[in-house]
Amino acid sequence: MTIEDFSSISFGICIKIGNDIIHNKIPIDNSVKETLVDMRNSFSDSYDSIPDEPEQFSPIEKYSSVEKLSVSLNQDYLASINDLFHHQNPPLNNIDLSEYLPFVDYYFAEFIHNNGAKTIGVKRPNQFKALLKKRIVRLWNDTLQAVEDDV
Amino acid sequence: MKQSKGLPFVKFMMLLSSMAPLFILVGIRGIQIKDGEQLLISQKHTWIVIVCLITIPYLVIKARINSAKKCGDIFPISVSQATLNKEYLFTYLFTVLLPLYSVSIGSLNEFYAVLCAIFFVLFVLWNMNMHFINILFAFSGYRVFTIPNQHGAVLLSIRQNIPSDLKTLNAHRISNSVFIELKNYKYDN
Repeated sequence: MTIEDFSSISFGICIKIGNDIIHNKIPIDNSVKETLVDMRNSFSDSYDSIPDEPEQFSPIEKYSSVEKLSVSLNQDYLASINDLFHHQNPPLNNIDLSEYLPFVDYYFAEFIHNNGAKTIGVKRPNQFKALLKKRIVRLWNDTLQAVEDDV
Repeated sequence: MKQSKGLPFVKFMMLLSSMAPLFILVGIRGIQIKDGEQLLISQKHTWIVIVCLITIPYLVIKARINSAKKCGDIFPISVSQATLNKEYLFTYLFTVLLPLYSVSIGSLNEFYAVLCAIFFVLFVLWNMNMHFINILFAFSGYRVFTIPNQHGAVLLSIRQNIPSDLKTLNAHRISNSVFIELKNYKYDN
């Protein structure tokens, strides 16, 4: 799939401070959208390459790095993601990112396909491979953009 | 929680742009501050400043929109509770245009008083996030829709109304609280 297959692709973070969970959307440019679609494609490819039916995920089990699992969103420990998928409309870029990056619990990408289907991808933040454009450009553009060099 | 500043330069330019009708009225009335028999600020210089105050913010807004188009800064807006907002025109007319229009600038003190008044109006409009008011958008046919379930954001669109069955609508982001559904752009909405 390419970015043309989606009517919208948005990106956001979940910040967890104590018991407070805050979702926030962050503006991204097309380079980040392409990266997110690539990540989505590589996930789908590896998921579909395993011929077995998906096994039910259990938080008390130990799994290897690549396994075909599924889980219902109606679990207490997935309340935050369930809320994000079904109910929540996170505010746009209204917190100071640099201040709260250490508290990022996960980042998410919301894909809305041209046929209306919605998918949310969630990933733990090992590293943000994006950076804000130079200050002069940020006067009228503050989107995140992908880094071309290796990080 | 510490708030993001968003795009403060663009927001300020949008506010300045919303003052364009007032600047034109000030230009027509003229600044009659005299130094002896001579005008301290000539009509020509007044108009140069006014043209700059109108065109520079407009060009910055155009640059912002072009930048949003170029990098695909498009967001799905929840429009299920969107309402057409016409009240802002009255707010703008009665709080900005009419009170300041009646002021004549005949001395330096009156000039500084008008500058202060404009500063206070900008301050209030900045805090109320009312930087979406723009006569040039209005002339281009854009209407203002308030989006309560999008954290008080507004949508500028040439639509007469938002269909009740439409849940989300893609629009370009101008600032964190102002979105525009550009005419002549294919959104798949």
